[in-house]
Amino acid sequence: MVSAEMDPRIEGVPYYMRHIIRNLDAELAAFSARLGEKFEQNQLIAALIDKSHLEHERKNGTLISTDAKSNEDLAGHGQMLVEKYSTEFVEESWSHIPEEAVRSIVSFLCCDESMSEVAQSIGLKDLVFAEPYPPSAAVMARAARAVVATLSSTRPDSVPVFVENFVTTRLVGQRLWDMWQVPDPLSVLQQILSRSDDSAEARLVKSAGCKTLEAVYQVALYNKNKTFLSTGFGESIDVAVAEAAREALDKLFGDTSSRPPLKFTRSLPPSCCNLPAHTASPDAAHPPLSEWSLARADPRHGNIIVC
Amino acid sequence: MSTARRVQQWATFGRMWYLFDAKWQNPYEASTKIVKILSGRHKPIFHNDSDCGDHVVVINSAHIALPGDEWERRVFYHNTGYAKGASWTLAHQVHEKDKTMVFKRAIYHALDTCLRRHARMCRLHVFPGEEVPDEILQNVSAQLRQMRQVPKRLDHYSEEEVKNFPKLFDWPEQYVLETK
Repeated sequence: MVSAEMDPRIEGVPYYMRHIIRNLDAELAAFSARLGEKFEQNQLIAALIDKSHLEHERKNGTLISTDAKSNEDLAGHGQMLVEKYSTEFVEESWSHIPEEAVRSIVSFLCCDESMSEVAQSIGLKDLVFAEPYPPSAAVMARAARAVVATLSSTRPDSVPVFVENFVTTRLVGQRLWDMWQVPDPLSVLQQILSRSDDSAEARLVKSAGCKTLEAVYQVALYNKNKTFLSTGFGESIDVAVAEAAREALDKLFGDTSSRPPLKFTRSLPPSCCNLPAHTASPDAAHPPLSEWSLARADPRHGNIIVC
Repeated sequence: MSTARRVQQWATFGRMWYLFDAKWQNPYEASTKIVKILSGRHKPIFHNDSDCGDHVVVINSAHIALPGDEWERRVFYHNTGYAKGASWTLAHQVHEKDKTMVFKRAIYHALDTCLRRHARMCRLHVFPGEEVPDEILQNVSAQLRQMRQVPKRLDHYSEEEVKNFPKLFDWPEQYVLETK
């Protein structure tokens, strides 16, 4: 293990990390190279120092400089940037969902657990200055956000690309209901349909093994004109009705299993991407559920829209 | 598990309960269909070790039909394992004692001879008549088509059907038929 006398550059590194980080310069340079950026060393260290590390140093009496700052302010700025670009991405990808859904998805992406996963994936676990080791999710999240803030001061154009590459990619494979908790989807559907003078009626299609533990029920929803809306399976009729309502809402919001894949185009060179640049969304493109009506539904699923 | 995958999983692995009316059916012919359902071979998710078979509820097993003189010729062998324990019983004798046994044995001997056979037999519910307990009848979800057409008794045709049936020939009214 390298000591401070042998290598003065190691002085800033906590003792428990000295057997991993023999050379802080090299580690930070490697981190910059991994992201394809050119960070300055003191900028990076400022982003990596957590308040728990400073408190630990103060208790031990080993604090080098009294005006050492933690990465809390940077983390706050970084969180704002991540939320901004995530919201842009979510609003582009799902153009027919209500405001509550957008907020739920963005909070799924920007929460501590999610940002801590991002931090792990870019190798911040052994770089962050924090006590204790291994660092908690909150600490890792702060470090990731602080790195984003540092990016914005060195190269602001790369921040939306970073958010797209590391944060929003966590949406791949996720469905709307995994991120947006709606306890009663049938009532939501009824509210939406009632704004167009329509209503949904549930009918039992099939059932098997009703008196057993492995009961299966299939329920279908029909509108006032007896047009088929959606179907759902479940171990009880209530579950099946809720699932059918969720499928109907999926069709309206454009989140079926057959929807086109998410577009990660910011990292492509301009020549590859034929899509127009992202424009600011028009007024109330994502209205709250209380104002969401069938006029905003995904037009690909025409049979659910009442003319 | 995510909601969508949970629904898909439950629907795919749900166990079905089929009803089969054995009236006028040959159990050995029906066994080809029923054994397929009990094993789960009719499903795309089938695997021998998967225990993916469905239930079959058989009614009217007292009214099965064996072809030709099989009621007198078909023999059921049983050995108690003790001295002089071997016995050979004719089908009509077995049927007299237990109206479900002929059908059950037909299915048992048609199933693959493996340890899973007993589990598959447990999923076969045979009833001699049309009375089925409520707990089982409420589970039933679909019906298997009969393989043999059930013949209609001549005295079960209504007078109208007989009158309207296209007649090619009949003896004149005054004609006297020679009888010995």
